[in-house]
Amino acid sequence: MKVVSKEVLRELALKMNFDIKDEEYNHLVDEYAVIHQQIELISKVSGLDNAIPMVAPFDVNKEVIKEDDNIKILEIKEL
Amino acid sequence: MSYLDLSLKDLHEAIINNEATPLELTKEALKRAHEDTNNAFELILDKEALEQVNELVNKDKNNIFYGIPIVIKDNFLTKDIETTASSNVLNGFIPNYDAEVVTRLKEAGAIIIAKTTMDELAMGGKGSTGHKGKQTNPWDKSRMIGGSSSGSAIAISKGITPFALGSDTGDSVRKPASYGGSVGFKPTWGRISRYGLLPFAPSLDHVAYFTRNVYDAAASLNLLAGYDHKDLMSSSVSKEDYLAKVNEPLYGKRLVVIKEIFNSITSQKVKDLFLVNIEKFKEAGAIVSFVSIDINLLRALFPTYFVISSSETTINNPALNDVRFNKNKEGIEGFSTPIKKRFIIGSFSLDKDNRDELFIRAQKCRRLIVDAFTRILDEYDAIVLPAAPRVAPSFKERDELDHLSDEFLLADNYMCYANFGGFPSITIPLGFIDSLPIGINITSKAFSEVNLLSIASNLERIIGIKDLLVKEESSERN
Repeated sequence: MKVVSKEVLRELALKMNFDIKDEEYNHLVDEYAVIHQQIELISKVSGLDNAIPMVAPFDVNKEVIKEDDNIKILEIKEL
Repeated sequence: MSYLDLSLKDLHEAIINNEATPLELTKEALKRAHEDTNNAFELILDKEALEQVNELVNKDKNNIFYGIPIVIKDNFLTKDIETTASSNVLNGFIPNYDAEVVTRLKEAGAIIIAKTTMDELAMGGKGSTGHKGKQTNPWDKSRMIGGSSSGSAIAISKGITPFALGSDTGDSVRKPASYGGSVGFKPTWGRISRYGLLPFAPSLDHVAYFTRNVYDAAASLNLLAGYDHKDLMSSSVSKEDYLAKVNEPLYGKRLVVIKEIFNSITSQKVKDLFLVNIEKFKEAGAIVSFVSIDINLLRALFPTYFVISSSETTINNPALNDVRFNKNKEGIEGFSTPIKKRFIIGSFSLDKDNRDELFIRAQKCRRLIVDAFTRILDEYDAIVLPAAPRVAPSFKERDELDHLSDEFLLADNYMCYANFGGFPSITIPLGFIDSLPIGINITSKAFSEVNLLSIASNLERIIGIKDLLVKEESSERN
């Protein structure tokens, strides 16, 4: 896993097409130290390696393509 | 007392009996909304609300929502009405269709009097990150109401409307309900259509709402539940009559408390209040047990939620990173700092070098958490716990909490397990501590809303608190 630094965070922010101020980065690096300790708690859970990742609570529907609705279409002159 | 102080059910009866009219109620609700001093509203819809009253001639007067003023959290799309999710990025966004849940409420004759403030894009639990600033608690303005459905929680607590729509991704309706003394309910994931709800973390997002009592929560679900083909995650499991077992006897119901979560609460007052009521539930015939879950798994609840929700929102929201939503055309400068931080953490968790260790591991942990709670819910009718370890804190107190303590990781943030597993979950008032309300949370297995609402209605009766409103002297005290 990458080590969190101001440069790593800036790179991630720029990838998303935004930037934040220097003091905000410094604060985020400090904040991440706590978040990192919280995330470390996940590693202490036993049986993690053999668990299947859960992406949703359950499969709710087998339909993958939704039906179209018939709706009124605006005429060009109405736009 | 105004008729508007009544519950949904009682107000409906007043309308049916011609004791109150939708026009009078709407005008009163609009007046109360304009008098709000807790920063509950994005937009008060004076003109639109009165127009909706005029359209009631075509509606069924027997529907419980007929002529009832309601408010809508600002992350639900409303046709021709600005929808911002309290984000500068969406300022000026006028949707051209209604969210499915809004459509159902309008067709039932509900009168939308306002859009409510929230944490920006529903990210946050304090009611502080939205572009209109902080929302405060009507019981004590120096305290938070909680978020992200903060404005809706205020509206219900102050008696502005008897129903307030919200959304719940971690506890965004159920925690503010505890702080505000109202009922906050989220049904099973997929039970109510999310079509037209701006997404935060789709695998966790639920349509949810506030009412003044459990009966109203059940009656509302009768209207809102049901399959919607426009939402691909909508459940096709048949809906039921959710009022069918409201107030059926509690006798023989098996309630369970998770020891580690309860023991992590440091306030003896909260523990005592809970235990006194547990004894009352037993006297009414409930069988109450205390069981354990591996504390390491419980300590992982919040970080698992944080990684998954931050990652999902980072996946979902690049669409907002578009110049058409940005007046200055300089990227997404419009986001507040806390939201930008969430995007950065989400992006970090999804980065190819970190993905397996962070995002995928969190998804694996989610599986183990859901399995653990499901095993318990297979054996018992419902899990009951204080909805929070304390009454509403001040913003300063909240910021100073130790984020690595068991109280923070467990008692303050455990309710996300119901979002992980899609379990229906409801918070109702438990009592008062130092003149401030605190709630009890009740959660049951997926698609067992009839059972859950039956238990909740009984606990509400035994506790003896419902239809709470902030008294005038409370708000004046502030």
